[in-house]
Amino acid sequence: MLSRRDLLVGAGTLGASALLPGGSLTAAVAADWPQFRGPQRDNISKETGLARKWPAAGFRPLWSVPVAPGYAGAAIVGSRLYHEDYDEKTAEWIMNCRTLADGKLVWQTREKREIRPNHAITRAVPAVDARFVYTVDPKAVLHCLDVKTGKHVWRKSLVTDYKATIPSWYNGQCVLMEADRLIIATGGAAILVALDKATGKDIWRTPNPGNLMMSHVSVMPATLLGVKQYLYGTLKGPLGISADDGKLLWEFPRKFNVAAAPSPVAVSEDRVFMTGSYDAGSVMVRLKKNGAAFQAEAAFDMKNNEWNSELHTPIVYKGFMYAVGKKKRGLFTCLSLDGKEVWTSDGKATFGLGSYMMADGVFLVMDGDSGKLRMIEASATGYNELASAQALSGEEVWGPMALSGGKMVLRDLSKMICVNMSA
Amino acid sequence: MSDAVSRRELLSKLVRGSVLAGMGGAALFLVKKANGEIVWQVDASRCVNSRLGEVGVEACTLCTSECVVSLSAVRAVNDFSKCGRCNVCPAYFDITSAVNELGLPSQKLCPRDAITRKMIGAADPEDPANNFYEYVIDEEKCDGCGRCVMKCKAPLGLGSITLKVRYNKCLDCNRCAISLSCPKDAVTQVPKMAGLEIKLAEHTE
Repeated sequence: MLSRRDLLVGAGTLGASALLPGGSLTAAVAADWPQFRGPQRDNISKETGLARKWPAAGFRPLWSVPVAPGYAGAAIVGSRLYHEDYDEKTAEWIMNCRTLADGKLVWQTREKREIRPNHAITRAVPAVDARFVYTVDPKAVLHCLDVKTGKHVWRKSLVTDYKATIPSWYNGQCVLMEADRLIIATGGAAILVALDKATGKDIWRTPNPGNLMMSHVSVMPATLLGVKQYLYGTLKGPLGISADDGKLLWEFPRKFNVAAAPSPVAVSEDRVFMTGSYDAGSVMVRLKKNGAAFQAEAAFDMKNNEWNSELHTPIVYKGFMYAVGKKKRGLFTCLSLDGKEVWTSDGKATFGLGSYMMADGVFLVMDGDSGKLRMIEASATGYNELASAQALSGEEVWGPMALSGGKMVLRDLSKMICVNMSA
Repeated sequence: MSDAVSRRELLSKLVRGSVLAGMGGAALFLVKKANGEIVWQVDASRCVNSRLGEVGVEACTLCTSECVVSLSAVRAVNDFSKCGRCNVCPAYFDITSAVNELGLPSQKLCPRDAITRKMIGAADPEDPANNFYEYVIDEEKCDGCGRCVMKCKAPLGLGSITLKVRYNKCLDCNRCAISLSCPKDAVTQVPKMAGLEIKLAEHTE
């Protein structure tokens, strides 16, 4: 459902479009992309009116800016986008606010941070509301910045304040922004903490008697068996935490390898899917309630790595899961909720570790090796590619995408670009 | 008629030329081989252990089992210019083993413990998980089983570890047993290249 803000932005876009020469009332409905995986954290945009034909010669970026090596994608609110960066010459972490139309800097905030590039540097997507920008830098400091000026409002070091351990390859967690709070995983002194958005003060902490370590997983909201909760995953498996008070509702002990990055995702009222890298496979957890107590068991477990995603979280759409799997250099795959491959892109396209999102009835899937973007029909009936075009040429095009106002923001290891996706 | 003769002469010259060229090429090949300029080598683009897209399968160990040299003339070689120097190296650790309190896998991958690691560069006490490590393969222990190669593969590994025929071990058999058994024809005779002799214990820091 569109929020009032979405509708206002959408109305503004429609109005502006109608005033332009050649403006059309079929123009896109604009929707903000305020945080990692979008407003609902499901990686499905409410944008409509996307072009179905793409330029044969490749996308011509509306703008392009250089960035330090990383995978940090952008958040978009209204006419501005926000993204992390790093200055290797001055050893400064950077938060940028740019205009979506032309990529020009509106403000920039820098902070000294010694970081040795380790499979690149930046990884997190910020979360942005009407007042603040929130993000976690590579060395696990959570920043709250004024959305208009970029000035610090508050900051918290997850290492100092919560005894967190910075994971190998630096922080990859994208803070979850709710209406009245932020949710972030820390490990160390807590599993998760809920923070007041204006002050950064704890609303609740989840005790961590098992000494779970912070992973690269970003917390996901879900309502399971009627209870609002936050899903998280570590190398020891997925778990659910009560949104009300931070109490651990359930956990499912299951080993993941080296680094957990994809988030656990609710696929139905009572099931949670978690996949992981380094041959860890995937698991589907089924939840039951015994009174108020949750019980977790495996609906199925792909222990032999029958299917896994290395970096990105599957999109759940109309009773199926869609994601780039690891096998054969990354096949885009439709999985049934019982873990069976319904179809793959085998023989048609590979995607490496590319990212993807859904909008306007199609999947937009990046080839993480070549920078070619493909449009695939969002259907469980088969792999049906509707268009493809070169968007980037750099290596490791793995950063999450952002789409708003018909403009898509993409990145590779060295540059961030914006392309027009409107019809 | 004279056209036919000239055609026959032409054909005859061509055949003679081809034979002579072939003999010359063979002779040159033999001379080069005798001089050690033609060597057996593993083609990483064909080797199952090195080749991209080969995931979720067991490492091929034919280089170990078929070679007539003790342990094998094929050894794993780490190209330091490509190595990511990661704290958690999937070629060094058995990443499926239990994780210890430092977040590291508790067991090593190499069954012969042929890989050692040492920290390089400055240690960051605030951020120990992102210190860098040099991974050195002990040629006297390595038997070329390829397990580390299979794990050091893009996209998560950088493909810095590959299998190489080590010239100082290879007997340069005319009929290389590995070559005969390799299902991917990944072991072939090629001109010796200085670039293949990667220095084994040198890092870029």
